[in-house]
Amino acid sequence: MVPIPLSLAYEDTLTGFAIDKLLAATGGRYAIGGRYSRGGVGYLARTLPGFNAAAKGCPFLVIADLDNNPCPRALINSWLNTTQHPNLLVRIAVREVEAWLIADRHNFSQFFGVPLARLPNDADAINDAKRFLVNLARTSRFAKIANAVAPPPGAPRSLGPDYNGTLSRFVAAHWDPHLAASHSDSLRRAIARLQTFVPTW
Amino acid sequence: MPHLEATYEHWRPHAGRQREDQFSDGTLRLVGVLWALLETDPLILLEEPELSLNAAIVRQLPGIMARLQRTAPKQVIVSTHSFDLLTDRGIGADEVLVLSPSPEGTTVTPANTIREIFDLLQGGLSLADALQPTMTPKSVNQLELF
Repeated sequence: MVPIPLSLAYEDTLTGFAIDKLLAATGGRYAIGGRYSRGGVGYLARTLPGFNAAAKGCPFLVIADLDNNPCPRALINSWLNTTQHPNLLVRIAVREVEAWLIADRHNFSQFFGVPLARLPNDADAINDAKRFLVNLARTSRFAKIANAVAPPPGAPRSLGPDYNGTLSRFVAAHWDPHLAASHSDSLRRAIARLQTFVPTW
Repeated sequence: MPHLEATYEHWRPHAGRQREDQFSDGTLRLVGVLWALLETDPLILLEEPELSLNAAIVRQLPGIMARLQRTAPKQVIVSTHSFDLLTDRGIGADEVLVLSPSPEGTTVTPANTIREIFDLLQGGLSLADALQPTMTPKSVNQLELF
């Protein structure tokens, strides 16, 4: 089967690594083209109409965090304000891509050195996944993880000095999207969509 | 032998003078770029003029180049990796050549003939946003794993 060409757009490097794993998990259905990413959700809100226009020539996969918005569909509509092209795939992580990582409970627990019992069965229900993850990492049995992911006590910042690097290494080397899908419905649906998507030409 | 001099203002009534060997890299670069643009040569090649400059200044460069065409008309060829430089809405896709390295050498493609870039611009993206993946090293995310 000829791979489906796919351009990607996402908020940050960490999400980029997660997308690579998602696409690999579909068994090589896709050939990755351009990677559009300039940090932050404001970028995707601004550029989504452009990706929608370009989707007629090459399918696009856009992955964003739901954050505090109430509803994924409403969030997409607020960015798009035109008909969504069938080749524009937008998947929203509920509520943040970090929840998708925590959802692979077994590997997360091993890599981050935290007890399995502290990881929720439904990762989509975590309200502030970044903060949840940082607080978990602070209690890691590996000092290296705690120091990299969580800021020192009292420091005026919310993330540790190598938060992105540590999480990216976890995703690239350990995270299993199929395992994670059983604890995150938004991830399960994203994978299902990528497994069945057929472009419209 | 230094031949540029500037005074700077501070608390002393007779402020200090600085010679070019004391200027910042950005100041020297900006003076150099402006100087070159004001020369009467018919052609000028600027290699990554954005280097060492503040991003806010880089965003002004295309406009400055256009304005100086009036007093010193010339063909200006600029190579750049700068997102900021390309945010100027006065730059057209027909003015941009995309250079892509390949095993056979570098391929040169007019930006407006690349379907995806053309469609993205039609969809309202700025040239900078549309060209961003082509300006980003392919495996840059591997640095995160370093």
